Amino acid sequence: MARVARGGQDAFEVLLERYENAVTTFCYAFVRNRDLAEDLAQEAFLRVYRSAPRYKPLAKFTTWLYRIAANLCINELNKGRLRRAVSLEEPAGPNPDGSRIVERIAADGRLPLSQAELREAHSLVERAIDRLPDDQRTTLVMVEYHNLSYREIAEILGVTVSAIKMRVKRARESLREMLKFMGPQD
Amino acid sequence: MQCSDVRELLSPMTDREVSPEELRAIEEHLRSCKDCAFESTMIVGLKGLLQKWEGVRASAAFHARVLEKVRSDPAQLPRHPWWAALAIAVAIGCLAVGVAWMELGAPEGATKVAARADQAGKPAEGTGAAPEATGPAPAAPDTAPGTQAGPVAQLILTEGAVHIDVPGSTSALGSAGDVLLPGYVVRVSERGRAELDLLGSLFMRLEGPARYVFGRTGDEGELLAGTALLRAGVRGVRNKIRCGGAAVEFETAGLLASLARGADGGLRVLVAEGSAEVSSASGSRTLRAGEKLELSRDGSLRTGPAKAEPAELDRLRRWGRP
Repeated sequence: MARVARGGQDAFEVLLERYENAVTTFCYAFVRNRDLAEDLAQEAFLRVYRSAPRYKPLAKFTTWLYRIAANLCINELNKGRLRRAVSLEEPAGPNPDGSRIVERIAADGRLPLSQAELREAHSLVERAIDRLPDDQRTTLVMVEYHNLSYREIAEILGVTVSAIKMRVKRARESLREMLKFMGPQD
Repeated sequence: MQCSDVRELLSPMTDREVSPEELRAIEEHLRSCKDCAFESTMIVGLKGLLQKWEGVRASAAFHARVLEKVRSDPAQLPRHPWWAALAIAVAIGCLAVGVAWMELGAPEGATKVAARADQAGKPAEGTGAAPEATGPAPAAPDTAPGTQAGPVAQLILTEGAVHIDVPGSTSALGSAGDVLLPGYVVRVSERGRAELDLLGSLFMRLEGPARYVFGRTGDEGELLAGTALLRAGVRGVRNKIRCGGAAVEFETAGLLASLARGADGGLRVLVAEGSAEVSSASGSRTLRAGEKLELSRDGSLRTGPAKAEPAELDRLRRWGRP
């Protein structure tokens, strides 16, 4: 970041390369629309670039970066322009596939899944995450994908650590329930 | 530890968010409770599954698009600070307006409207200085809606919830890079903080819960609540910050100071470097480096000027250190 502040576009490019997928995923967790997530991620990087000369390391760089992205996403959601991209209909009925994969991994996490199972797992997880309530989804993605601590997430979202702990717990409970009811075509 | 206690902690345990004591107690419980042990393996399994998720990959064009935006960004930093370019643009604009004004003659009543705006410290309606009065809240107020009132500050950093209230409109969450116009109010939540660049004249940190309203320029404003730490920017200009019934004036060159509004409406001023004049109903006093004073809500002197505590000065200097 110091090199970006000194005017290095090369340094900014390195920073962009390192965080572009992470920030896009972060924004997607809020808005659930890939195009909009990219637009917001782009704006977040532009703000990072513009603010670089005045950046003071008061917090971890990633906390600052995600805070910028979170503010943009929250503002976007508040504007009410967003249309829900995913149907939130209740699942039709129980399907053992989701919970079977969870149990399989739980039984022996060292066993690799087959390619087909892995694809199926990715698809199931993504659709299940999409269906979580907004606050649970964003928090769970920050924990599982971005590997942020509860404290960092609390700073980014401006809420308490206890609230984050509760959201993550509820998100996992919701996800387990959903995975029990979700099938390959759901 | 009871099953209900353990179930509450299984999720944070998988994220390594429990204390060593809690971890020991959970592990001991799991050795003797099959139900909780099963629950634990399911949560661990779910975490394993989630961690296999690859997230959303940015499109192939994203990287190039962002770089193109950066290259074409008018705020090419740091060789040409955006505010320097803006200042030049505003100066040229003012000159052009001034020439046209003299040639055409000022419209009736326009001067009075501008004067009212000055007195209120807010943009007046009809001057072209007011931000959008209708329509959705701006994601970030990053464009000057009028030509007479340019940006007065920029948010550098936010922690916790920081809101920007736009007069006559609504509010938006603020984030680093947001530009602030005259009349905008920055609100910082409890335990939050906002770092602001008052366009070169000062750096300010607002510590929540706090509210600060910007005046006609970045060199004046009003601290409505909370604490403001002030550090000299690049210019040595005269600033004035109103605080209820009192006003604090200072040259920015070499200044390091803090202003704090108490819950009772009182004001506490502390100067670590430089000096400041504090004026209120009880008169005017100069505070020098290492001094502090306290005023009551009505502007009467409560204590000081007196020597400040070393710990208070150290805290301010730690923040002010480049």
